[in-house]
Amino acid sequence: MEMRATALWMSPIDPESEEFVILLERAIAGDVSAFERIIMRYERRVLSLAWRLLGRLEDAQDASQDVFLRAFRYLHRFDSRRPFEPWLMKMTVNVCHDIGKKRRHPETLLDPDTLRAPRNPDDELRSAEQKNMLYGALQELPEKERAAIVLRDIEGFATAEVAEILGSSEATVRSQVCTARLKIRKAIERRRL
Amino acid sequence: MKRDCREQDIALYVEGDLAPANRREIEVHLRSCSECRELAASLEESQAMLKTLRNDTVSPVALSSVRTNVLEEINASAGWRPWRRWVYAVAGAAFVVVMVFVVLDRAPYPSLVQEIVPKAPGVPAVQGPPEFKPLKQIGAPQPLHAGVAPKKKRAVIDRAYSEENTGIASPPEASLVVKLLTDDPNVVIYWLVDKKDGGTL
Repeated sequence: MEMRATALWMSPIDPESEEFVILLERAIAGDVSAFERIIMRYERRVLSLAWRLLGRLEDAQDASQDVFLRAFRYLHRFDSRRPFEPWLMKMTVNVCHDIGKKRRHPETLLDPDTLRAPRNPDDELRSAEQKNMLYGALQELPEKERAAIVLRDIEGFATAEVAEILGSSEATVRSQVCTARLKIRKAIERRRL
Repeated sequence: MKRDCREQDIALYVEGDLAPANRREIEVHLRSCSECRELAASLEESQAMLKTLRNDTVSPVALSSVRTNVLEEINASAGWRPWRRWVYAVAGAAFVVVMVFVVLDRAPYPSLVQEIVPKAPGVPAVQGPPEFKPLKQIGAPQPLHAGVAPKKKRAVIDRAYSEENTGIASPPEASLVVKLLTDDPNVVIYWLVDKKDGGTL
């Protein structure tokens, strides 16, 4: 299954992509409206990934802005024969890495009182608690493991794509992903106690 | 160690990340090991919970805010546009080309020195190519273009001329003055050559 997904990802450009390449060429030539369409196509993906990697919406918004500004600046360097999304995701991971290094108090992302609050019968509140618990568990992971599991299990990229985005081998990604899965499981069990 | 390996394999197995041979091996093991079955079930549950975050989308307001800020920034700093770099590069290249033409047009070419005429009495004139007539004694100032082929450059060594017309006094037999005539009648270049040091043209 994964091999099939990888093969599709590496397949030649389809007609839809050709339309996108034209959009890219217009953006490279300085057409801001063309670049706006590119932003609209990928903004949700970029902001979601940044949010999951950084754990805070304000940081994620800053990161997304930086990603799109960098993308516009370096668009002329992009090889249009290759898929655009991994290129943008790689940029997002790098920007989040930079912002994560500058962030002073990463521990403030977690709210222990909320995470350990007694279960509420209300489903919505329980769902919010579960979400907080999962984001907390993600933030406890080392940066590379967090990036690997977010890209593989939440964003749904294939292992080969994750390796491309993170600039590492597939074996390394598999190792990081399985370690992260075991840690997430343990963190969930610990927080349930 | 072996247990760690098994845990990692199970963590890959629950998401279908194992190669077929390894997958079959784990499946056989799970049938006989209740502890690993519990681990697999627990991992499947935690992975299912983790995947619920896929439904967690960002608000349109946050997306719009990012897009607006990006476009404002791009419009504000138009210098990032790639074509701007080309405009600056072409303008710079054009400036360099113009400057090269200006310098070449005004500079005297040593290879175009056509004629050398020492003025000292008794010293024969050194004639240049036959198509250029040597200047007569230039006791009195000559018209700058007298005897000069049009659009050609030439040089004249004339110590007397230098003393009389330029006011540059040079010791006898010590220096020479090279006069370079250019296409522009208003531009005359004088070049002092000191013979004391055995200087040559």
